[in-house]
Amino acid sequence: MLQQAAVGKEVALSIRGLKVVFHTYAGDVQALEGVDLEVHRGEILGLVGESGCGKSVTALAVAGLLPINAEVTAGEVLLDGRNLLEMNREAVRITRLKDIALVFQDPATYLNPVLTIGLQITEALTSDLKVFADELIAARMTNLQTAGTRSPEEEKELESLRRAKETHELNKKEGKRLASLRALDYLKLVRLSEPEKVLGMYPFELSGGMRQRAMIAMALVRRPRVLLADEITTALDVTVQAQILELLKDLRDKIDSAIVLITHDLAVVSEVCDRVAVMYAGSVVEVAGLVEFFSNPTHPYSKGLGASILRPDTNTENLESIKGSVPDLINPPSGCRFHPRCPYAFQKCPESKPPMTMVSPGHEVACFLYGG
Amino acid sequence: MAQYSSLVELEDLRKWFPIRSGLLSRTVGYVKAVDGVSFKITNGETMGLVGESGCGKTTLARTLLRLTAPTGGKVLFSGKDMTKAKGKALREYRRMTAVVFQDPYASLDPRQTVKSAITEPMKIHHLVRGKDEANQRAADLIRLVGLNPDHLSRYPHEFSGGQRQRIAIARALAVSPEFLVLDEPTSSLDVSVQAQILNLLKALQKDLKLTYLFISHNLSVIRYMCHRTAVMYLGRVVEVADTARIYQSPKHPYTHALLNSAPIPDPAKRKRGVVIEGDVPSPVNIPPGCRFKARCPYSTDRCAKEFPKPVQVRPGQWVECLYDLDLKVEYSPGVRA
Amino acid sequence: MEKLGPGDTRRKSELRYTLHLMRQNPIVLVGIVLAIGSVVLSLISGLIINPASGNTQDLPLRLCWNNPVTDWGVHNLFVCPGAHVYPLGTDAYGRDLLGMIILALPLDLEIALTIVASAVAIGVGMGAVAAYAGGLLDEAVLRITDVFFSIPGLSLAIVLVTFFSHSLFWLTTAVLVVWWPTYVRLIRSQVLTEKEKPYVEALRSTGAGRLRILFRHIVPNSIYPVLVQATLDVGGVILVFSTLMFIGFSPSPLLPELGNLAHAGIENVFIAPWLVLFPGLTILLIALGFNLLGDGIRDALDPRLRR
Repeated sequence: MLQQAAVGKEVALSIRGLKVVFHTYAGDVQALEGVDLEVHRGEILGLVGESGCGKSVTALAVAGLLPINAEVTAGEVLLDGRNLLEMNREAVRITRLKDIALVFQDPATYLNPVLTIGLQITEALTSDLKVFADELIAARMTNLQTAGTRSPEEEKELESLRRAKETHELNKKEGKRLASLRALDYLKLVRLSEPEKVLGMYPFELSGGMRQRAMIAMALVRRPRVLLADEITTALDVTVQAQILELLKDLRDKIDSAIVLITHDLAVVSEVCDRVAVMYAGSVVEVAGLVEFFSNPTHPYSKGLGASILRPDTNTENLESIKGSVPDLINPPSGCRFHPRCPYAFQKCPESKPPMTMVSPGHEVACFLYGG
Repeated sequence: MAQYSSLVELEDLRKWFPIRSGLLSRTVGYVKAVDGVSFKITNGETMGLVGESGCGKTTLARTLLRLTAPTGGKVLFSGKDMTKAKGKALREYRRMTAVVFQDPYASLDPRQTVKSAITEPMKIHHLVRGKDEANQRAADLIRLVGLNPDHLSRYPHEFSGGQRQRIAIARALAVSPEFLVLDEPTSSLDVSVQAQILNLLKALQKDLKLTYLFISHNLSVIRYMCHRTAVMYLGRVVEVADTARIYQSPKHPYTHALLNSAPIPDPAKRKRGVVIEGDVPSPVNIPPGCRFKARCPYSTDRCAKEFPKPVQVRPGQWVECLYDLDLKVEYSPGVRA
Repeated sequence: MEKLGPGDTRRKSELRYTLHLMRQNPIVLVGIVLAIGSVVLSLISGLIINPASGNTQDLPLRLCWNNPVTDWGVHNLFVCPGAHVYPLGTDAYGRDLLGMIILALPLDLEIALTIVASAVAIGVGMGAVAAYAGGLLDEAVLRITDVFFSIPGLSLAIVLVTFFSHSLFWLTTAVLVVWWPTYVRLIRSQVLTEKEKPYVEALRSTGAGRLRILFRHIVPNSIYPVLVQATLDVGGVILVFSTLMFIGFSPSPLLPELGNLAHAGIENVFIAPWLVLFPGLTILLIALGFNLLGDGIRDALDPRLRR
C-alpha cells in the first residue's frame, strides 16, 4: 500500500511489502511481515517500536547488511526507482557506499580502535575513488571559487582540478588530500571543536558524544541519499543526547538526505522528527505527521504506547501498560499480530493482516477498526 | 527543625578508588567516585537519585549497601552505624536491605532455577524451617510479582527481560527487607514493560511498607516514582528536594540543565536550545572550587576558588551553589500543526 | 498473569543445536565410538576373559603366532603348537595377547579416570579459591603452579616413582602430581571472569557467604573448559601412565597393563613384533578416542563457533 507523499516532497526511499525470515535452530523467525514505508528527501522520519518489532532489521535490509541466515522472501526496496534487493553484489556495494549510510547505537564498538578518526572517515571516499572523484573535485572547486581571494598555490590547485574534472580522474595522493579536506568540512558540520586535531585522534581519545558526532560525520561525508540512524542517542547521557538531537535538527536543514531515526523513545521522536512510523511485530501499523500522531494516535498499539510513557514536565496520574507481552515471532499470532493484546479486537482481527487505510491526509493506520 | 524518622542516613560518605602506577604500584591519585554525600531517607518514602554517567550514583548505592567498604563518612541504618559492621551485624544488615540491578539478564545465576534463586536468601538467613515452608513462600512471592508458580522450576534464560526483573524483585523481597535499592531497574526494558514494573514497585511499596532508593538517569521515571530527589554530579549531591519542587523550580544550574535537556513527548513543547556544552567529566581530576563551574552558564570567578557548601533552602531542601538562583524550566513553542 | 516468554523455545533449540553440531562432525562420531567403546569393553572384560588367566603362565606357548592373516615377514616365526588360534598371538609368558589386552582395559581406564578426577578436584579447589580470594593467596598458588610447569612431567614422575616405589599407588600419585596444575590455571581464568558478573554481586547483597558463592554459583558456571580438558586428558594420562610401565616401572611383569605388555615386547621386537604393536595400537585408539571426544565437546560448547 502506497503512502501519500507529503505535499511537495520527493520520495527518496520506498519500501514495499518487505518480508524477512530468519532461519534459526529454534525455527523460522518471521521478523518482517510486509513492511511498507516511504521516506522523503529532507525529512526526518521517526521509526518507533519496542524490541523485536523489526525496526533494526528493516534498516539492515535496506543497507544490505542482513546476516547469512536471513532471507528476504518478498517485497522491494526502491531507491530512486531501483530495487536494491534485485541488484547484483557489486551494484549493492556501490549503493551502500554512495547512497545509504547507517549510524549505529554504540560508537565505541562501531569505530575501529586502531585507526584514527581521519582515516576512518576518508576510508570510504578513498577506497573507491572512481565513485567519489567527481564529487570531491566539484566540492573543492566550489570551495576555492567561492573564497574571496586565492593564494598562488590555490590558483595552481584550481587549475589542476579543472583538468581533473575533464578527465574524471584523480590520482591516489590527490584523492586522499581532497578526502581529508572534505572530512574536515564534515567534522565542522557536526560541530566538533578543534576538528583538525580530531582528524588525527583515535576513538579512545574522544568522549561518547564526540564519537557519535564523528560517526555521523563518517556517514554524511559520502552525501548519502538516505541516512539510517539506529538508536544513536540511546546510550548517551541526557545532556549529550540533547546536543546530538540539536545537531540532527540543524543537519536536516543543511543537508539533502532523508533521515530515518530509529528509536524506542517517543520523546526523542517528538523533539526532532517530522513524521512518525510505528512498528509492531514486523510491520508498520501507523504513519502520521508528528503533531497529528501525538494529538490523534489511532492504532490501539499507539494508544497503548501513549498511555505508558512518562514525562518529566508533568505528573502522570494513571500510568497504564499494554497487557501481555511481545509475541513470539516463530509462531506469531494470526492475522493482525497485535490482536491478542488489543482491547478492541474483534472477530475479523485474527483472520488476516489489516491493510493500511487512510484516516486523514498523511495519516494511515493498519487496523480493521478503520477499514480494510 | 522537624525530626525525621529516617531509615537510612548518610553522613559525608566517601568512596575513593586508588590509582596505582609504576613498578611498585604506588598510589598516584584517587578516583573520587563518591566524595562527601549526606542525605536522609525517611521510612516509607522513595528517594530518587539522578545523574549522568560517572556521577557516582551506582558507587554510592554499593557503598551504602556495604558491597564495598567506605573510604570515609558514615552509613546509618535505623540509627545504627553500619559503616564498619562485620559478621553478625553485617548479615543482619543484608537481611534488612536488598537490591534490584539494572541488567535483568546478568543479575540471576544462569544455572539456578527461579525457585532456588528465591529461596536461597531465605536459607542463608535461616528464615524458614524446611523445604516445604521455603517452597510455599517462594510460590507466594512469585505470585506477588505477577508470575505463575509453575515458573519456579524454570531457568532465567527462559524468561523475557520484564519477567526476569520480576524474578529479581521476588528474590529481593524473599527476606522481607525494609529497604530496597533499585539501580536503574527499568532502563533495559521496553516502555510498556517498564510501566508494568514501575506500577508493581509502587504497589509493593504500599502493601509491604517498603522504603526505596531509586536510581536512574531518566528524569521522567524519577518524577513518577520518587517523593524526593537527589541530583548527583561528580561524586556529590548538588541538590536535594521534594520532587515536585525540584522539577518546577530547581536551584542548581546542573539540575536546571538536566531538566532542559530532557526531551518531552509532546510536539508543542520542545527543549529550549542547548543549555550546556561539553561532555560529562570523569571523577579523576576534580578541580578546586565548584565542580560544575566549567559547564555552568552562571559561573563566576568566585566559583573557581570557593567550594560551595550545602545551603539549606528550606527543611529538607539543600543545594550546593554559591548563589541563590531562581531557575525556571522553559520550553520553546515547538511545532504546531 | 504472564505466559512464558520466547525463552522456552530457546532451551529446546540449544540442545538441538549442540547435537546437530556434534553430528555434523564425523570425526567426533569416531571419537565417541572409540571412547565409549573402550569403556563398555572394559566394563564387560571380566565376563569375556577369565581374570585368573592373567596369572597363568604357559611357557611353551610364549611369543607364538598362528593367525593366518599375516606372517609378519619374520624370519623364523614361531608358530603356535596346537589347534587354538590366537588372534593376536601370545605374549612373553604364553598368555593370549588379545585376552590380556582386554583384561588391561579396565585397569588402564580406571587409573586414568582416578588420576583425572583427582587432578580436577585438587586443581579446581585450589584454583577457584585462589582466584576468588585474589591477593597474596592467588600469587602464591600461581607461583607454585609455575614451578610445576617448568619441570618436565615425565621426568618428575620417574623421579617420584624411583624414590618411593613401583607400586600402582605411587605410579598413580606420580602422574597426578604432574597433572593437577593445568586445572588450576583453567579454573582460575574462568573464575576471574565470573566473579565480576552482576549476579555475583546480587548474591553478595543477599548475604551469601563467600564459600557458598564460590562453590555453588561461580564454579558450576566456570566448569565447562575444565570438563573439556578432563576428557582430553583421559587420553593423555593413559599415554603417560603406560609409558612409565613401558620403560620398566611396573610393579610386576605379569600385570596386565597395556604399557607393561609392550615392555616385554621391546626385547623381542624382531621375533614377535605383535607384542609391541597391538598394545601400542590399543593405547593409541583409546587416547585418540578421548581426544576427539573432547575436541567435539569443546567445539560444540564454544560460544563463538555457535551460530
